[in-house]
Amino acid sequence: MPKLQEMAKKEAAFSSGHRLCAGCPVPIFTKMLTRVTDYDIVVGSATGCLEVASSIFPYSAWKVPWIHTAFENAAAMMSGVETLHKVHRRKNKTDKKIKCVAIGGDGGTYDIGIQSLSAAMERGHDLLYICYDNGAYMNTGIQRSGATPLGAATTTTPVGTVVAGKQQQRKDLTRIMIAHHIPYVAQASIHNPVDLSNKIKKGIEIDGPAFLNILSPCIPGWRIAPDMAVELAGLGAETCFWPLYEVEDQNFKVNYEPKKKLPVTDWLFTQGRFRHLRDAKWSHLVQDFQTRVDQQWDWLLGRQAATK
Amino acid sequence: MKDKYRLKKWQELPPGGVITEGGNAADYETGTWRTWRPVWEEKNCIHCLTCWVFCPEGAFLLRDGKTPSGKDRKEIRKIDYFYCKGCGLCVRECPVNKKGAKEVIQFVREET
Amino acid sequence: MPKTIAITGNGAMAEAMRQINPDVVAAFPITPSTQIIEDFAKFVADGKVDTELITVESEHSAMSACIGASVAGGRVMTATSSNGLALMWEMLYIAASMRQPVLMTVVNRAISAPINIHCDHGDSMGARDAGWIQFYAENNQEAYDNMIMAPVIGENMEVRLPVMVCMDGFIISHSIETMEIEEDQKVRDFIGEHTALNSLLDTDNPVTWGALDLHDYYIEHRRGQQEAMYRAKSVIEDVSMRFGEEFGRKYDLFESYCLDDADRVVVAINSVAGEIKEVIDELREQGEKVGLLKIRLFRPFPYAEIAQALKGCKIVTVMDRSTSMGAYGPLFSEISNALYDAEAKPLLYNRTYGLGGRVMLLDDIKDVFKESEEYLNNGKVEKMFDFLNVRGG
Repeated sequence: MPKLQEMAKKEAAFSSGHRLCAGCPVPIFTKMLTRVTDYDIVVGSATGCLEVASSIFPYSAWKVPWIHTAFENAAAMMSGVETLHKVHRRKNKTDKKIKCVAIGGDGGTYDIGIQSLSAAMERGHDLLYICYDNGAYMNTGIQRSGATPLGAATTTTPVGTVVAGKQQQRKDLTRIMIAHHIPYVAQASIHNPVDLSNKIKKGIEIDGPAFLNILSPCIPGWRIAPDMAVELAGLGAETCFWPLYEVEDQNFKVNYEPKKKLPVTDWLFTQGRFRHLRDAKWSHLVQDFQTRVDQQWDWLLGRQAATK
Repeated sequence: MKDKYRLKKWQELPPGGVITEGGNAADYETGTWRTWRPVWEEKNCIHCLTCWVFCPEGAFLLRDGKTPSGKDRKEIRKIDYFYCKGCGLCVRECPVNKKGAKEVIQFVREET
Repeated sequence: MPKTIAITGNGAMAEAMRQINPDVVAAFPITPSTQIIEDFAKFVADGKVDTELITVESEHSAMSACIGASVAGGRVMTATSSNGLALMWEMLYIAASMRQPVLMTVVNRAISAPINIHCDHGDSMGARDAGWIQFYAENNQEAYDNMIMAPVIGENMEVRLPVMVCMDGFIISHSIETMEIEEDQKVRDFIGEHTALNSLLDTDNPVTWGALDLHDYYIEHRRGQQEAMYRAKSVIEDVSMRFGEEFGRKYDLFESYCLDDADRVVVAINSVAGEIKEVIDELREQGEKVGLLKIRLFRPFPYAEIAQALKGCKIVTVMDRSTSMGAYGPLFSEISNALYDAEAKPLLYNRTYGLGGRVMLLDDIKDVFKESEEYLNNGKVEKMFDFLNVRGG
């Protein structure tokens, strides 16, 4: 497991001088990509905040080879890169073992990119796909996505007098990826660097497709102060909204079990996007939210027990 | 602005919009975004690297040092204000700050 | 020695791909281009090529994977038709603007709706502004020859652009014709090795591909891309000449058939040219001064050369097998542009034909020439734009 002191000896994959918002936690994991492994890596991004803020011509924050082409195709694009590397290895054109990493936000992963992601995983490319889930299309200005939690206010699910934020529960992409029966699927969060770096390392180094879903709070999208990303991500784990777990060859392991599971309101009411839910008028939404979180958590513990 | 970042004519650009220098965003100053400034107090620091791992800007610079028992370690050297956007994440997440008795990183209003 | 064989157009393109032996092929099946990839998959299965075939889940992913593999430094190919090309639309532009010499066969098929599997040129004409070099082919021999030349052109350091070779769905893709397949080694010698440029897999020199341009750089990058298209024209002439010397079949930017002394000229694209030539032969025997200008290269469009070739003719009928709704046909617009500066402008008009596979028989072509004779005799064009062979007129 990479400790901070070990990681500190290696150079980051991602430089300073990028233009992500102040307090955006995304670089916590992008910096790690080279610090957790000795493999050379190539990164491909879906269109999104990270892509835009890291590559404003003529500046690039990427200290590793990096490519972006479009929004919905990061996995397909990186399939091509990975396949060419395979050809080079077969033809003895290189003695390097290069690992490919695709990165997308929840828009590029849960929604517009799910088709190409699913297919790339099914084809078995040696590729780690990282989704940084900030729960909406933040790059275009906070529109709802399939990852947006129930009740959240976004610019396309605004809070009105008769409708309060998003009316649907989020989809559970991590479970969809588990159903692909790929070697490694995990959920991590930016608040826990040791667990996070461990999962990035596993995802990169494992042979075959891997998927890592990282909770990554968004300062403007969640309507939180610029110093709150880590705290909010931590509450995501403490409330079990975002359990930290991994599935290796269908063996479930919960990496963090809170001693006392906090009510989801501890997470919801520290964010401006859920502020309206304090109104008793919308209490049924909060209840539904809690019910879903409880069901997910119970399911997960059940899976873990079943595979022990 | 360095000369290499002067606006180029189309004939001077490599094909396909490629950027051939990896990580050259490090030449771009983001410290100008700051309205609040974290100030690191070395004497209270335990060099746990929490601020370093969380800092989205990579603004905590390291140096080689020793633990009190004499083992090699990386230590915080300084905050690079060329990049620090003043988000305050380091101030909030510093474990010494959290305990409350001492402050390793203070947050002060940027002088205008 | 070349082999003379009887083969379908799709089979010929699969043969071209086998000989080119690309690093990566990423493709998704769509009628009528499916057989190209099926044949190629068999070559992979039999170890006849060194290629990795990525059997993607959509054409969008096909082109995305092609771009990824190309930026990584490989020679890559694919094939598609119709709605498949339409689904690639976004990535076509990106391949071209990122200056990746991806090679693609487009088996021309009508675009939905209504869904129709037969030939017209609506698919590739819709992609004409995407930044790809576009070749059109009358028959399987031309399609094959164009594809053999395609990597040499697209990968030229002065060009670095993707190349699309188009041929007619079913009429060519599924019809068996005799043609010459050149020797594998001769073809490979002609094509040469692929040279990577700023490869993504060169981890010692990390490059950033696909950056964001703001208003300070986008137009400069586009300006450079346009220049590459301009330069492509002379590269195409050089490569075509070299191809002629090597394999004996000569290609210009377009084909002139009985054009030198022609009064009445038809401009057309792809397989219909075969029928037009037959009608021209017959009319010439009767002393009629008729000719054909057959488009080979549509992008970059050879304006000056075409204007020169049409110099001296009196009336030009441009036949478009696609529509630009609310405008003249795409080919007509280009011919009209080409003739703008001509000193003695011929009469010029536009006919749309063959959409969704509507057949043009020899008699239909004769009617086209009859009409142009009437117009020429009257000294004016009655109908600038019309459909041929459509019920209701």
